[in-house]
Amino acid sequence: MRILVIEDEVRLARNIKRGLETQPSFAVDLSHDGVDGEHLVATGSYDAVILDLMLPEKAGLDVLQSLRAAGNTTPILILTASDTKEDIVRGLDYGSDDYLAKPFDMGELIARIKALVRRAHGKADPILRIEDLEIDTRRHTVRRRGTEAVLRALEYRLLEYLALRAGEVVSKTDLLEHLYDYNWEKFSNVVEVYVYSIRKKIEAPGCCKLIHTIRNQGYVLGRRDDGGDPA
Amino acid sequence: MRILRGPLSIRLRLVALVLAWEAVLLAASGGVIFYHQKRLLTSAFDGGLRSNAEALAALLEYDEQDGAIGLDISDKVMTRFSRHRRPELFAVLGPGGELVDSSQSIWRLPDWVKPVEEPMVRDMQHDGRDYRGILLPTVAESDDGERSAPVLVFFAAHRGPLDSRLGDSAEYSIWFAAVFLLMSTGAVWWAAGRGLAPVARLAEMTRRIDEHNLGARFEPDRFPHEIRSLARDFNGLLERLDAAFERERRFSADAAHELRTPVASLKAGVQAAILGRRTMHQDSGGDLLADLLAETERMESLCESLLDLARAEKAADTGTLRFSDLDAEIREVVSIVASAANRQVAVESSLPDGNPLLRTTGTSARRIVSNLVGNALRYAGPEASVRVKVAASRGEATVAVEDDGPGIPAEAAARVFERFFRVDTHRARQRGGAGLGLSICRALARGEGGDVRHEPVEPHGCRFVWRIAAVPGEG
Repeated sequence: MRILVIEDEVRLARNIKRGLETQPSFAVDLSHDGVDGEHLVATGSYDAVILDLMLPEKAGLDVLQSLRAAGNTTPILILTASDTKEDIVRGLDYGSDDYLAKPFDMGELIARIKALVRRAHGKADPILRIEDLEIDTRRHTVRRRGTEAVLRALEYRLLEYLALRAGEVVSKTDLLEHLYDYNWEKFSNVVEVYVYSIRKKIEAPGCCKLIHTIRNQGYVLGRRDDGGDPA
Repeated sequence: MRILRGPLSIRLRLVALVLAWEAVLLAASGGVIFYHQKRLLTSAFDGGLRSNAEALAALLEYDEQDGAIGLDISDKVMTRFSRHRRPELFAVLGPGGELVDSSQSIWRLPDWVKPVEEPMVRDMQHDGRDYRGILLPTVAESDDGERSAPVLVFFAAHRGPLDSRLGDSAEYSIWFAAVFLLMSTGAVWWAAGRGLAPVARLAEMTRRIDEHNLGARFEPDRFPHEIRSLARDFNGLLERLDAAFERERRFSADAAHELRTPVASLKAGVQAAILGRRTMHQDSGGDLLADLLAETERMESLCESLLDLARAEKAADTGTLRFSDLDAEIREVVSIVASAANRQVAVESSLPDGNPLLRTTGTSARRIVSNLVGNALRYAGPEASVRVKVAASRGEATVAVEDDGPGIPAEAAARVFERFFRVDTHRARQRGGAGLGLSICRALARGEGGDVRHEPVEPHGCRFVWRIAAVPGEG
C-alpha cells in the first residue's frame, strides 16, 4: 500500500519515510506543502495520508477540510507537535481518522497506519484470510495450509494489497499506483512477473488457484467457482 | 508570644491606646470626684463635731455670783456623756484655761487645745487612735442672761466612720474603673476586629491566590475606602504577575514545541534505523546519519539561543564603549557577516562631536549588529541592498540596519520581537531560525538602557534601529 507524508520539515519527513519503509507493506511518498499534498491525495493513489498541521501554502486543517468536502475518503492521520485536547478534537472533527502527537513512536505510527488501512477496507482481523491462505499483516508472513511461503518485499506488498481487496478485480494500473512510490520506474510487466512468482510460491500442486487473471481487467484474489483462468 | 514579636498587631495597638487614654481619664475624673467626696464627707463630719460642741456649749451654766462655770449634762440627750460611755472626747475649759469638765477618757488634753478666736478643727491622735476634734470658743450664760468670759469647748470623735466611708468610696471607684477598663478592653477588641474585618477578608482572599488562579481580581468597591486603593494595588500586582506568568508559560510551551520537531525527527530516524536493521536496503545509512546530525545541530543551536536569551534577559549593563570603538566593532562584524553571505553591506557613520562614551560593550555590539544584518541579508532577498548607519545625537548613539526588501507586514511587525515569532514560519525554519534572534537583541539592548525597534521604510523595506544610551555626564 502507498502512503503519503505531508510534512514541511524535510528531514522529519525523510525519517518517517525511512521508518515506514522498514515494513514491506509500504511505499511512501513525501510532500512538503499543503497545496502539493492536497493534489497528490486527490489522485486517489494513496491508501493512507500522514498530515502535519502547520504547513506552508495551505494549513493542514484546510487541506483536510477541502479533501473531505470533495468527497475524498482516504484515511488521514494527523501528526503534529500540538497535543492539546482541543487540537485533537478539532483535528478529528475536521474529518481526520486518527491523531498522533510529535514526538511519536515509529512502531505506534506504523500500527495506526495499518489499522486505518485495514478499517478502510472493511477488515478487522490483522490476519487476512482468503480461503486457506493466511496473511499475517503484523509479521508479514504468508501461510497456506500451515506452510509458510517466503515472499520478497514487493511480492508481499502486492499479495497484501490484493488480499485487502479480496474478491475485487484490481487493475494493473491500480496495482502499480498502490505498490510503488513515484521515484520508481514503472513497467507494467513487473506486475506480471511478481504475480507469476507469488503463484509459484503459494499455489503448490494440489491447491486450488487463488490469484486469477481477468483478461484486460486485472487480477482477483479468492476462489472463483468457474475455476477458469482464461489466460 | 508570637503576637508580641515584631510590631504590635493593629488590634492590640488600638486596645492599648484606648485603654491608656481611658485610664488617664478615669484617674483624673476619679481624683476630682474623690477629692470632692472627701470634702463633702469631712465637712459633714465637721458639722457633726460642731453641733456636738454647740450642744455641749448649750449645757454650760454660769453662776454670775461666784463667776463659776459648770456643765449640766443631766440633759437626756447627753446623759451618756455623764457616764462617759460615748466614745467621743470632750473637755470644757474656763476663761482662765482651767478645766471645767471633761470626759473621763481624756487624761491629757492635746497640745493644740488653746483659746482660739474662731472654731478650729484638727486631726489628732488619742490612745493610739485617729480622732478629729473641734475647738469651739463660746460663752456660758447664766439664767439671767449674763454672759461669762470666753469659754473653750473641745470635742473630738473617732475618724473611723469618716475614714471607712472615704475608703469605701475609693474602693468602689477602683472597682468601677477596673470593670470599666475590662469591659472596654473587650469592646475595643471586638470593635477593632470588626473594623479590621475587611483587611482580614483581603488577606484571606490574597492567601487563596497562587500561580494557578492569577486571573482572580479583587472588587475594590466591596472594600471600605481606606483599603480600596490597597485592593486596587493588589489587582495591579496580580495583573503584572499574571502577564509575566503567562509570558513564561507561553515561552516554555513554545520552547518545548520548537524542540519537539527535531526530537520527533531524531526519534523517527533512530527507530527507522532500528526497525530497518534487517530490511533497510535502499538507504545507505549515511544519509540517515547526516539527517540525524543536522537535527542534532538544530537542537544545539536552539539550546544555544535559549541560553543566550536567558543570559541577555538577566544581564545588567557592565561595560562602556567609546563611539569610535563602536564604529570599529560594527565595521568588523558587518564585513564578516557580509562576506560569509557573499554580499555587500555598506556602513555609513557620521562622527559626532567629541567621542561619547556609550553604555554598551563590544560583545553586545557584535551580537546585535550581526543578528540585524544577518536577518536583513536572509529575509530581504538576494537583490536587496543592506546599509548600516551609525550616528550619535543628543548624547545617544543609534545604529540603523536598513534594507529595501519586501519589508514586514504591519500585523507581523508588532510581533517581531516576541520570542519564537517568525514572519514566515516555514521559510524561517528552513533557514535555521528559531525566532529568538530579535528577542535576544532587544533583551541585550534593554539591559544596557537602550532598545531595538522596528521601523518600516517607504516605499518598501525595513529598518531596525538600535538605540544606545550614553554614559551620564559624558558628551
